Amino acid sequence: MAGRSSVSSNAATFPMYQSLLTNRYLTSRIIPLLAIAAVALCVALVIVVVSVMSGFLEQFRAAGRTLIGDVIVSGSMHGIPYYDDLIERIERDPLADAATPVVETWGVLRMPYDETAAVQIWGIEPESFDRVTDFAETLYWDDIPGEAERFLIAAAIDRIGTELAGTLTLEQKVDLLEDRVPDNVDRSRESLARQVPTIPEADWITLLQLLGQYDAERLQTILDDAQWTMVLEADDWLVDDANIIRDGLAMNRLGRPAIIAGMHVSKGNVRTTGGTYEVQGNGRWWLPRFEGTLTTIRVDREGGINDPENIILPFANEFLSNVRMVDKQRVLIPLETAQEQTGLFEAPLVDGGIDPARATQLLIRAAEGVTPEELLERVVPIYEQFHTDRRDDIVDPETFPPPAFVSIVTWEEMQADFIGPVEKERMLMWILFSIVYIVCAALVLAIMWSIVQEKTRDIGILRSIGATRRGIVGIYLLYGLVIGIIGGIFGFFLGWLITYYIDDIHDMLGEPPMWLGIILLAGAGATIGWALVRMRSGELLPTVLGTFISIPLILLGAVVVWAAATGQGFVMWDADTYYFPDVPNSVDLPVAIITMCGGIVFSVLGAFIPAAKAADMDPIKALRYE
Amino acid sequence: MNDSGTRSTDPLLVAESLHKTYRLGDVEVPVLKGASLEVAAGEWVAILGSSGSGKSTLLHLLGGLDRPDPGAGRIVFDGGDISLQNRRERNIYRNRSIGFVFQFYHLLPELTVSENALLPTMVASSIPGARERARELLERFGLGHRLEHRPRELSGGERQRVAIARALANGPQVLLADEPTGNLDEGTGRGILDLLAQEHAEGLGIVMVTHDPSIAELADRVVELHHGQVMQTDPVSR
Repeated sequence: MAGRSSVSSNAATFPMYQSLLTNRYLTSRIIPLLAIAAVALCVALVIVVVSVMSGFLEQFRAAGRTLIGDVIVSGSMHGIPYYDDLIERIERDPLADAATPVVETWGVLRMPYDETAAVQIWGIEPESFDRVTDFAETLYWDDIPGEAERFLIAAAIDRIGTELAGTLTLEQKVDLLEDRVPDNVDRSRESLARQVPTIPEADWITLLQLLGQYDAERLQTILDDAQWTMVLEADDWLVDDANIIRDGLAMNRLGRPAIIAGMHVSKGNVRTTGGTYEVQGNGRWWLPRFEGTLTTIRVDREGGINDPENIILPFANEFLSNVRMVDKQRVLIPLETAQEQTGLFEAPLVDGGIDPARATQLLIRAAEGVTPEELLERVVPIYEQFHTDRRDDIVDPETFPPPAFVSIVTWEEMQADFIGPVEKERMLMWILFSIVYIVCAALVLAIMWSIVQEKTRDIGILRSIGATRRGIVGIYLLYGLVIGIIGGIFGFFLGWLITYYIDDIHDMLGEPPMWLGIILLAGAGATIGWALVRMRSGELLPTVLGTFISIPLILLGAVVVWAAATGQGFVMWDADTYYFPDVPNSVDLPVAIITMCGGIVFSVLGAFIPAAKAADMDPIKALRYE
Repeated sequence: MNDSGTRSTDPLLVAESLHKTYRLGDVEVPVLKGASLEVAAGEWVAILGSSGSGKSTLLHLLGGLDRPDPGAGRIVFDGGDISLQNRRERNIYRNRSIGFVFQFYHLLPELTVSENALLPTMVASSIPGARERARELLERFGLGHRLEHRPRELSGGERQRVAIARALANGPQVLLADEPTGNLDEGTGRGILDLLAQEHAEGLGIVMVTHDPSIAELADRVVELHHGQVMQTDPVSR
């Protein structure tokens, strides 16, 4: 027996019995899988909740910025005169990218469907407004929605009715009549031809309109090419869809200043779960084919109220900013029109001189890489200089707001009332949901406690062959660490997946598909079948498991089938409450990583107590443990 | 049986008037009351006693799993006082200098035969040649075809042989065996004893606890434990 007691030790190598035992303990039982699943669910839950809150905040910030630029200059009720000069001065600064004037007022918009909507009116210069706010990208319609087209055709026929009716041949008139006469009347073409001369001119226009509205294709086959071209040319949108965007950008429709309304101002637009819009009444209530009456109440410079001003304007397009508040109440009109409505236009004064046009606000966009705060610091002195330079140009200097009366703020300050609470809410959520870490640690603790209990004799054996207390602690800490790491990684990806597909999941809840219900019910059936087979052997567990699994499946399946059959759904994210139509679906990566690490740390913390218990165990008692 | 002359006469493992008292609730139960024992290097000593006589306790004290009552006796191994050693030193003592064999084998059910046998080596982090040695032991014990099996797939005798291989993995000088055949039928038990005798013949010291005089007489020397004291230390006469 050479070498007895002459043993060399090499403390540097990793004590492999710990990893070996951890590995075997993990792979030989179900409980660790439950612990891993629990950790994964905890981590995923926190990631989803915090990511949605963060995404909400980000959306809010992004939307706030695209809608109002980076810095906002608001004048007193007199407005800012010589704003073109001020814009020029601001745009000369390298930190500013663009600036645009806005005239803001409130009013009532009478809708084509005989209702009124209270609206916030923004008079804008479309071109510079687009440079500051990317307004062009928010224009919703770039072509005519299919079903609305026939209403445009009918309107076009109305415009050129007399002219078009005059070109109709007898054949065409007979064709037009053919569809319209009742069944009990002689419908032979000869008989119809005899009736043609008795029909007055105006009725042919009506017949053309009706057919255009209900069967445009049939009308096209009846009319010859020249006549059909005449119809299309009566409406520039029918000639070319692209003109819809052009009109929107120019805020001009058929040579008149036009309104661009927020997508949710009109009740004619209904959002689908896919995020697109359907026009109510089979295209009838497509807003851009109507005119609206805008009523504003002018508050004069002394604060008195003048008679309401009415103006009828066509709608040119609609915009979708995806900020519900804005989409629901804002309408855009040309700046000059708004100035006329509010009395801020350029006007000669009775006692000589000219009162300049004014804007209530200036929106400014920062140059690439410039923060709103940096830009703000430049704009304040620019306005001071502007006021000093131009103060004497104005007839009534009291109407030129001094710097102290002008509010110059960043968009964040402007939106602080909204952003502040959302930020606090996110923090609160994170803290509240971090309580699940304790659940996570408690689960690992309970599971490890039972494993330590079960493995008591192993601990005694290991101690009898010289394993140190630290070595025993190591086994169970490693165990907790592995559960934490696997659970954390699974949770990370689970949370990422759920967050990424949260809108699809939400849409599915909104309109649950029938197949989901059928799968759930089939699952319940299979579970019951399995339980019945196993119950015959007299086991209790299958009965309990079968009941616990099948009852929720049946309930869930029944609710889904009911919802799918009746078209009822579960809409949790109400766009009216949360301002945005979609649930934010971008994962907040730093938060997700911190959450995952938190899951791992708490799993190890949970393992500490059972590990310490294991280390403290009396080896002799442990060896005798049955 | 084997009275080989290679054995040194200096005692390797010495227990001096050990006292050990256990506390059961409010009652103090004295188990060892001044037990003394000397084991020479390479000597096979059988400790005979009825159940409850303190045999296992004595073995646990000898193996450094437990300590005698404070100031009541000492255990000396190779000149060093075990009862004065700190935890770390006793861990090393258990790992390198002695090997335990239990009545109920005490193998780890999740590990294979070879992993069980290698466990003391893994605990020690690294011992040169240990892997080969463990394999050689297992093969010598007739377990060469069982290396990747789990303990539950083995018979009682096979399990005990794995346990002995484990006890010998780090080349200890003394094997502490607690009723090694107590859970086996007579034939299988005889096989285990033959195996121990074979190792003893190669120089291994053995302290074996048993209640069976016929097994005890295989040892070089039999001592009897009675009421917590070693009653006689007569050499075995055959």
